[in-house]
Amino acid sequence: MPSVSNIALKISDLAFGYSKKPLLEIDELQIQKGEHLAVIGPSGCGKTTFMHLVAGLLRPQAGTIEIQGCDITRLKEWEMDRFRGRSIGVVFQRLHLLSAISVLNNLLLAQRLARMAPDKKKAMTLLDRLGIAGQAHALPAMLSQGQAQRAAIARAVIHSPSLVIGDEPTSALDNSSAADAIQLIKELSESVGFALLIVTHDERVRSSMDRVLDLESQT
Amino acid sequence: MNLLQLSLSNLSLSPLSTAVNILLLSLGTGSIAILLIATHLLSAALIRDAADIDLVVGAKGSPLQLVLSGLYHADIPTGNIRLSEARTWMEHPMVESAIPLSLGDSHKGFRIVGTNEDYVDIYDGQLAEGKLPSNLLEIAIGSSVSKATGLSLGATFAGQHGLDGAGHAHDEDSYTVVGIFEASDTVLDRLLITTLESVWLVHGESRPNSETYDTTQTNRPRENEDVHADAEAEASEAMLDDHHENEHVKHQHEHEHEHEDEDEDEHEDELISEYDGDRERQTTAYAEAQAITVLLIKYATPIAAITLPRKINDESALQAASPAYEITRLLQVIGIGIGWLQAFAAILVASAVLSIFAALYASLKARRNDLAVLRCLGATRSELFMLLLFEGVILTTAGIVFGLIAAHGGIELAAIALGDAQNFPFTGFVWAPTEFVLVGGLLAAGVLSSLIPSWQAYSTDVPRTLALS
Repeated sequence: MPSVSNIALKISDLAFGYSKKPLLEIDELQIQKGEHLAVIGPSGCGKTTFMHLVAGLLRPQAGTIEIQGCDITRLKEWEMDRFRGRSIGVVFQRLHLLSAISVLNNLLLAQRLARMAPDKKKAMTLLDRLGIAGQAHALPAMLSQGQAQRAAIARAVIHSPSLVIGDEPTSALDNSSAADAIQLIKELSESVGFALLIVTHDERVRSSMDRVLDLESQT
Repeated sequence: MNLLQLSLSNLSLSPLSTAVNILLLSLGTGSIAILLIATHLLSAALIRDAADIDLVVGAKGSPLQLVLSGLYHADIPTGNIRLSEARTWMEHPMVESAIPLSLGDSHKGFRIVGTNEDYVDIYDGQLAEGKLPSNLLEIAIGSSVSKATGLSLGATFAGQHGLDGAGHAHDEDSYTVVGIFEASDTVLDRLLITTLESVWLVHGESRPNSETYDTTQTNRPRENEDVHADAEAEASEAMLDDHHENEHVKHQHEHEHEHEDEDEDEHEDELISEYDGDRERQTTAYAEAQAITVLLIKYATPIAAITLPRKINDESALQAASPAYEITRLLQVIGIGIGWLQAFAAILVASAVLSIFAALYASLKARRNDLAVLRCLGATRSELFMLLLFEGVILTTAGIVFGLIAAHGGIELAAIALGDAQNFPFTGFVWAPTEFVLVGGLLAAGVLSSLIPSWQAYSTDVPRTLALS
């Protein structure tokens, strides 16, 4: 039985649906710090919805979602926004770096929205570790797909969150880049200590995770 | 990196659109600001130069022309009047003070004013150098005159008829600069002040003797020049009347010259002695017969404002015009034109504000994903609202700043180019109080134009936007 302090995410009796018929029901789910979970299932089974619920972007009709011991379903919207900025990192399917600002500023803005003092040195160290320090001052449009994915990963972890959520983070990458990206996130997870939850239907990703949650079997 | 910097970065992503929006707003702002500044400067100058004068009395004609020429020296006079006729009103119990002015000549576009020290006092004129004119053909010049003409103490020059510099030059009677006024930011800066007697002398109305007169000037035979016929006021008729009344004075001139020719010194001494005996009486009679152009009157009692102008207009051949009334009328007339220009400028501003709205709205559509990502990164709805609002305010502020700089800079450049010879000198280094209203109104309009895009940013449906991306 893991101690409460080691639990990054705990879901209990979760129910959500866009209509009267529930789309998603999860009785119990726990992820420990540093643990890597793949969420799989066929299209329409609620993978993205599950991700949005965990990120606090949607509110369940029933149940609780605790991140680091905080039940986010009880937070007001602005409190959830602040909590998300501090404790959750998100990597999107299509990267979604802010195009108007440089890679470095994308990282500094993430720190700012996590209500942390911008730490340029930390950001540069992280970019250097990911091999894109040379592109720190470039606009996202100047980056290759692989570089942009690394920048997006850097932005998701720059504020040392307790949970990082990935929504099909490798779907736009070739095999080699996808493998690199997954390896990179896992390494960062081990060094920073965040739990990793990746929504995917990519077999390469699924096979590299510690556990798999098949949503089709939950509904 | 904060939200304000992010707003700036967002605007810099589409520099052409941003520049066009700022330019549009600058044009509208600048146009309105120029009108506001010009109106402010004109009103301030009109009030300042009015110097608490309640009434301007002069020859019949346009009352506005009388005020513009007599008080602001910005128009040609309506004509001349006899000092004897004006005296009736100068000594009226309802009049606290009355200052006679004799106009008609100029030097390099600056008007020569024959008057007394009281005129200098109403503008608090202080001498930077020299003294006030007290003898014939002495003259003190305003600071702008000194700067523009280069005249200094001791310099001599001849006045010319009219204000355009193309009139007849009085080469026989050169003025000597004896004083230079400090800048007073009033009409005094652009005037050359001399005595009434000097103006009369220059216009052929020299009297035979006076303590203030230079002997050589006094004794010089002069033709009865009808120079006023060419004067800007075309006041020859009045002057000719004056000339007839002065026949006895001129006769003594001629008489004097006859004796010079015959070299009969003893007889001449007798004549001079006879003349000196009557000097005081003759001087008074002479002056009363001379022409002045306007009389500037201050009331002794508020009731005078109601009765005195009507009395002068009804009971004499003179005209009385109230500066306050005429200037109000003038500003109303000008105001109609300014109103139309302001309406046009307001359309420019409205177009610019709409353009800002369109730019923000288009930008919002293109950046929905960015806004959703910002929420995922921890931005609150309010922060997204502020992000768009900042962009609108930045565009508006930049448009206002550039518009005001263009307006003030343009006016200052125009002032430098036109120099000191303006009837109403102006500068760009002035802030019209109505500009506060303009800036406040524009900022409010900018904020209003940003409200709809900002609200849409606030209402961003993050899961839906991310799902559609």
